[in-house]
Amino acid sequence: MWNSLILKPMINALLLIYKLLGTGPNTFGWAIIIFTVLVRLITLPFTYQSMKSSMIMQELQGSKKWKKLQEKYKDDRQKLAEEQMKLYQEKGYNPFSGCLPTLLNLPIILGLYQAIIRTMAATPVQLLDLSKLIYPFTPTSLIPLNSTFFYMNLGQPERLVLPFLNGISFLQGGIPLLAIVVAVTSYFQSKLTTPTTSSDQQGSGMMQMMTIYMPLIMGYLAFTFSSGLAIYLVVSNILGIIQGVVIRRLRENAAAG
Amino acid sequence: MSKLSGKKFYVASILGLLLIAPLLLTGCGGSVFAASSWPGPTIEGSTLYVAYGPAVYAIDVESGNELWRFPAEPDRMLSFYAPPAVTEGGLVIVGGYDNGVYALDADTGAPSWASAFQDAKDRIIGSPLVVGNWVLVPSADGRLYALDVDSGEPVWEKPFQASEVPGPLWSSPIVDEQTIYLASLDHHVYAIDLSTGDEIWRTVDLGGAISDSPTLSDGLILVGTFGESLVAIDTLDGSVQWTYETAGWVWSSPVVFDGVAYFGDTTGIAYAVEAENGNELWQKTIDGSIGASPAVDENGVYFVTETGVVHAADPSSGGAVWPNDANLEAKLLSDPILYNGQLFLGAIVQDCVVYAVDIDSGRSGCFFSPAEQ
Repeated sequence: MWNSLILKPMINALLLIYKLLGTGPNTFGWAIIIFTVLVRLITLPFTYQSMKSSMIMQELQGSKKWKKLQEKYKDDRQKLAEEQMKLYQEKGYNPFSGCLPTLLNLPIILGLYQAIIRTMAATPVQLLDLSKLIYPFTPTSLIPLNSTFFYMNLGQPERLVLPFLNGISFLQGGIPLLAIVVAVTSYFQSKLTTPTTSSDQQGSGMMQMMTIYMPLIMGYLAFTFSSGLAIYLVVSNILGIIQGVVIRRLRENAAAG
Repeated sequence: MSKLSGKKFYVASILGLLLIAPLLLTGCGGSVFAASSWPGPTIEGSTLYVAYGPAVYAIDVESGNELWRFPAEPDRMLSFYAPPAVTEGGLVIVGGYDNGVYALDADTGAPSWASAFQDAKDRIIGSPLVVGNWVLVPSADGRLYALDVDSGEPVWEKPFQASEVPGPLWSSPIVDEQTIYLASLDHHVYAIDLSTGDEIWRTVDLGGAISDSPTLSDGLILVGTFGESLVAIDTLDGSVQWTYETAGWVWSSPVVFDGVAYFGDTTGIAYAVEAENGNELWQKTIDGSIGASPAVDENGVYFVTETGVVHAADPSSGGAVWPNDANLEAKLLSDPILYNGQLFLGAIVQDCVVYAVDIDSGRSGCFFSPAEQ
């Protein structure tokens, strides 16, 4: 099921894009970037829905009605939750819709990590497994792939080695540049997509915690796993930020108009 | 929902998913916990040497008793999968996934060279080949290294990559007089001067990667390719003499016996073709992907599959020799070795590294399982 629905389509899409781009050095890195753009386009309706929900939530939390409810039911949390739920329904807000992009993103990250590792196939077991994951119409002459992307080996974690930093012991292995970029872009994306205003102290604290933890975890993934995955995360985050800014502008313009 | 508001549920869900993501990535990726390759067995004299994972084992082939292992204690930096090569002088040469090449005393397993050869830039996946006083070592870094067998000092090293397709060397070279024949994942076969390492000729792109060694047969070299074919090449100039199309990748070397080449592909089809001209004699489907060369004698061609099936086929007709195939419930991807009426099979399975199958009856059992240290 996982192989049929996620892994095989991803591996074959990557291979076919790699083929279209010409199969030389750097090509697999560009294939990952194009694949990421396609994934972002396919998931755009869900992203839009999530952003919309997030903005409705922010508007709700800033409204007088919300504050009145908080004041009125400050000693009855169950009743407060019920009334808040009614308000959500009234405004067309679905509390679960914010989860959807992350829920969608997780299998994509898992699938892409596996697809990259398996298409790179650095060991006999991986290469033999790959033979079972390639569609009949995908040319096997593409194997093995060229895994270099500028200074990176896409199957290995990324480190930028700078000769003048050789004297610094903890940087001798190189700087994890992509991991840092992933963490920074994840932070900006989180800021754009998670509701910020809240009169609920506990909820607000959790939100702030998440905008810190999520970039750190994403950065850790990019630091630890293959640089191909880090490239996906960087491109995905940048596109997410652009989408976020555009959707926000469109909604603000619509509200003003 | 009354106890956990929508926003808190959202935060908790995402944090939970992100926290388990690294575990899912490693666990589902299959690259961290799973074996990278399969056991590499070799029999020399009355000793079976097997490279598998953290150690190289020497086993008495009659009793199944472990004689020694290297390293004696597991070292997380060391892992071995390439079948060891054994010299006349009593050295066991083995390459590792740490990029190193080690020479071990065949009687004790003690390291023999002053230090291991560590110049390769990538793993040693193919088996080293001993030729006279030299040992030829293919590396996944695309280079072939010739080392002095007594000291481990390099004699020469040469890169082999014909095109932009990466050229890791995963298979052992073969030698005929003064010429080395080397197959590469870069889709080419190379003929190389043994004394200098200089290239004599290279083939055209054969349409797919070549993961196993070439096979010599009467002036021809036979290689299986991922381009779904078995290709015969003239040893004099590297020209393609004939091509036999298959249904899947031909992962392993063909075995030539009495002028017939026997081999299998990843779709589970076993083939017999005339080595001279590529004419098909028979083909048959066996349960499971075939990733190993068969073992052959006058009574049978013994194929093993990834699903654990051991099938004995009649060499001339392809008909089944045993009433039922043996099924070992293990991944069988190592080349089987015929010795004293038994097939020795390296296996990927939890509790057994080498199985033995009686070739007369097809009865099987675990032959060697390493004791815990």
